[in-house]
Amino acid sequence: MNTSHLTDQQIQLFVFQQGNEFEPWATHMATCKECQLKATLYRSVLEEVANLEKPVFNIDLASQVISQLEPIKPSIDFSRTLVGFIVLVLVSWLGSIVYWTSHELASLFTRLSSMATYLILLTSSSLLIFLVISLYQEFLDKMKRLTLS
Amino acid sequence: MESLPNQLSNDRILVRKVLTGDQRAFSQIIKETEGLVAQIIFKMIANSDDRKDLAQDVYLKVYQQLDRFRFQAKLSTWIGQIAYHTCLHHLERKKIALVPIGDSDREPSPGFSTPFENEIEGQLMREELSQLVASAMDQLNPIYRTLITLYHQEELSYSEIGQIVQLPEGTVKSYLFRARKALKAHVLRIYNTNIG
Repeated sequence: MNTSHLTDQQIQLFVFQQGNEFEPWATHMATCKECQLKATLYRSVLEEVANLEKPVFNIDLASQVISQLEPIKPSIDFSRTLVGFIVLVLVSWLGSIVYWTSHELASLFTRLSSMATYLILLTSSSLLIFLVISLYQEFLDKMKRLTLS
Repeated sequence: MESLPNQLSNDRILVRKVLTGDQRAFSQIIKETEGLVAQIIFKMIANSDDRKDLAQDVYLKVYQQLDRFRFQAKLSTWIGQIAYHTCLHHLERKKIALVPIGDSDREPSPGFSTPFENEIEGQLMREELSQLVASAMDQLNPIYRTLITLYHQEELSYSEIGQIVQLPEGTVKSYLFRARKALKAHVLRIYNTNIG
């Protein structure tokens, strides 16, 4: 028999997420009074939570909200329009470049000196790294604000 | 409970009606979802006037943004998400602490137990828990209280709760673990105080 008690997390998993993977814990739970008590306490407390009276607003919320509504104006999704416009401009710009320089494009990279190639690679990779770092920092800030831990 | 495809289909019909100017359909949406919104607002906001204002604010936002709802989740989940974040911004604006780090909110120490815990636990089984649990819930921080309510009272899945609070499922599970542990600690503390 396993004599070491289940941790608090294991007891919660056993109580609230029963499944085959918790079989080894079931053996311990069947014989350990201390863990059984802890599990029963969790179960009882959370059953009480489920039975708590549900809150209700003491106003007629629907009427109050409806009285403040203005007719919906069909809104233009400006972010999508803007993205569409930018994509269109970029495509036209790239298209014109390709059209006017197509005869020179093939030799574009072969005629570049190795120093120029390194410079281009260095600049673009630095920009990329900078963008990734700033995006990651923004993500961390958002997570920090949301999780507030 | 209605199946997800049926629910989404009903949501589509209701949203379409509202977008064509049918305010009765919006009234129906409010009536169908105000229970969930009330749970979130009551668990996060203490002031009763603020609760009423925020509830109206939530539904006005829903109405204004309804044409941007993409049916990637249930309408009620989306409305719950708006309610949660409206409350969160309200609390942040008022600089109210969301997750105070109290003793009960810390990670469990190895072999977590108090000298009298087992005795207390044994007695608690025979006591009327309802009052204790209600008081203990009041002492939890707003986010823990909301998560426990959504999971154990509203019976939402981890995924739905994750959509509402916009956190990954794993984080929701981890928060719920800590929330239950904190709730249990509050129950024991209140019980201890009462008998002491």
